[in-house]
This record gives sequence, C-alpha cells and structure tokens, in this order.
Amino acid sequence: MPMKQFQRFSERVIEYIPRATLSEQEEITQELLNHLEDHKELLMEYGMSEKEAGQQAVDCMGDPSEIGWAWNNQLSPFWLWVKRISQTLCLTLVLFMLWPLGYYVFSVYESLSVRGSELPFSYTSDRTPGIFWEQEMDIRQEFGQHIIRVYHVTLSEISQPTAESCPYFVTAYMVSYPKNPLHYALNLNLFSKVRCDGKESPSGGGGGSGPGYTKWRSSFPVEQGTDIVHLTLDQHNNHFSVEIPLDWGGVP
Amino acid sequence: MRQKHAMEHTSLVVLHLLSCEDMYGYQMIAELEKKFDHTFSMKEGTLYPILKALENDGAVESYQQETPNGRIRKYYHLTQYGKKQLAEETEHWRTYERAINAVLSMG
Repeated sequence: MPMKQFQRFSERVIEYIPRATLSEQEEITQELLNHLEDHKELLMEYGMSEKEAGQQAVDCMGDPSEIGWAWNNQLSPFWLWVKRISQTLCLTLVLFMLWPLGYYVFSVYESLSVRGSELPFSYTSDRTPGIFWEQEMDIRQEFGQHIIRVYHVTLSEISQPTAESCPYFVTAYMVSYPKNPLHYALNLNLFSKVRCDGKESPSGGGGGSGPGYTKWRSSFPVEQGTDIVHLTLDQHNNHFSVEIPLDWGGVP
Repeated sequence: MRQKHAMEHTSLVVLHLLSCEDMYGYQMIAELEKKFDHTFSMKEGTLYPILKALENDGAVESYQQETPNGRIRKYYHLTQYGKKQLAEETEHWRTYERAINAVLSMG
C-alpha cells in the first residue's frame, strides 16, 4: 500500500532531523505525506496503477538522509540541547536516588556474608609475616547491638627481634557486624581497644570496613609456650571476652 | 560548485513562483516542471529545506488551509521582504548572466 511506503519514507527523513520537536516532526510528516499523495494522484490520472504511482512518487522525492540533514540545518538546535540536558539531569537524578538504595542493599549483603560458615583468609595483606601456626575458628559474642566474631588466629615469629622485644606474636582476626542485617555497621574503632591478657597491642592493628561490617586484626607479643591467651574488649558498658588456645608445635 | 549554484537558483525560482500566487509544495514542483518544460530537474524533497530556509530569512511565511477533500495543506506566501529579496536577487542574476555571456562570447 502506498500510504505505508509514504509513512516509511517520512519516518526515514525524520530520523535525520534530531533538532525537530514533536510538533515540528508532525508538521514535516504531514507536509511530506501531502506531497506524496498529490504526486501519486497526478500519476494515476496519467494511467499508472496506484502501486506504481506510489513508488514513483517516493523515488522522485530523493534521498531521505539528504532531505533530512538539509532540513535539520534549518532548525534551531535550542530544543535539542534542552532535551539532552533534561535527559542528563533525569539520569543524574535517578542515579542519585538509586545510589543510597544500592549502597544499602550492598550493606545488607556484606552483613549477611560475614555471618557465613567460613570467612576467607586469602588476602595476602591480612597475613602477618613469619606465621608458623594458624587456626580457623568461629567464636561469636554479642557486643551491644553488634556481634564480634573471631575467625582466625595465628602465631608468628618476627624476623629480627631485639633483646627487649618478644620474638613471638599472636594475631587474632576479628570482624564485627550488626545483629540486625538491615542496619548499617557502626565504625566502633574496636581494633585499638582489644586487650590480650590485659595488655594493649603494641602495634595497634589494621583492617578495613564496609557498610555491613568492620574487619581487623590485633597482634600481641606472647611468651613461647603460652597455652591460652585471653582476649577482651570493653566499650560503653559492653564486654567481650574469649579464650584462645595456642599450639606451639610448629615453632621454628 | 554546480550543486551550490543549483540550490541558490532554486531559491530565486521559488521566490519568483510565489510572487505570482501563494502555493503549496507539490504545486511549486508541478509549476516548475511546466515552466521549464521538464528541463529543470531537482529531487522534490529538497524543496522543503529551501522553503524552510526562506521562511527563517523572513522571505516567505506559511499558513495552513483545508482542501476540499479535507486535507490540511501548508501554503507559502511571499512577504514584503521576500519581494525585495526577489528584486535584488533577480538583478544580481541578470548581472551575472550578462557577465557569463560576455565571457563565453569572447573568442
């Protein structure tokens, strides 16, 4: 049917007129369709069939891209830029609104993942040098609105001990997460408050955190042969206390 | 060069057509074919960007009118400024034509 052909032709021309507003597009389409109809009717008066007349009318119009680009150059780019800026602002607004949601979902995911049966101990940056014994464990205690979990312990020997320093260190790898996985984890700076047999860590500790958890390691000097160390942590009337058995069988 | 001059000549021809009466797009094409005895050829769709350019310049203005069979047609009308442009461009064309003819008639 010629009308479908004519509409397809008009649509192809419009593709090359990005500056046209919706009402301009309608006007252009109407003008082109009228032209094609007029030409088709004239050709049919000369004896052509409707199909042939329609095809010839389209052929006589020329290249849609050439027509479109030439027409586009006559229109103001103002509304095109308004459209582009509006689209960019809308996208920015959507991302701005989705970001907190995405962050929250990630927080819940993290909080749930650190409750799993095993925590990975594969980060090389986590490992203290000179480890000769290590043990995976899963000791969990409530600590206010959080849970503290000890998931790994190592014994290590420092490479160049001084006369005053103890050559052996016990390192506890711990993580805290909110009891309710739908809550964000608070950064409680717990790593600096962990005590081993009542003593502070001389090197403090180190770790990382995400919105759903805080992870750290605390290292303490320990005398060779110590069977058990007692880790404690106190903050805001919350108390954490665990006993960690040590194994010196692998001491170099 | 040929295409550029063809476009400019087309604008002049369109202004001349509209100086006779208001016309719609296809009507201008049909008139051009009749007046030039089918020797003036242009792709019909390229007329419309030319009309838009003339409209942007203020040389023509458009309006819509319903046809007897109910279609809404866009007609073009030559403005006062357009008439002035037509007179100036016609004079330029005549000068140009004389110059070309003078060169071509030289040995």
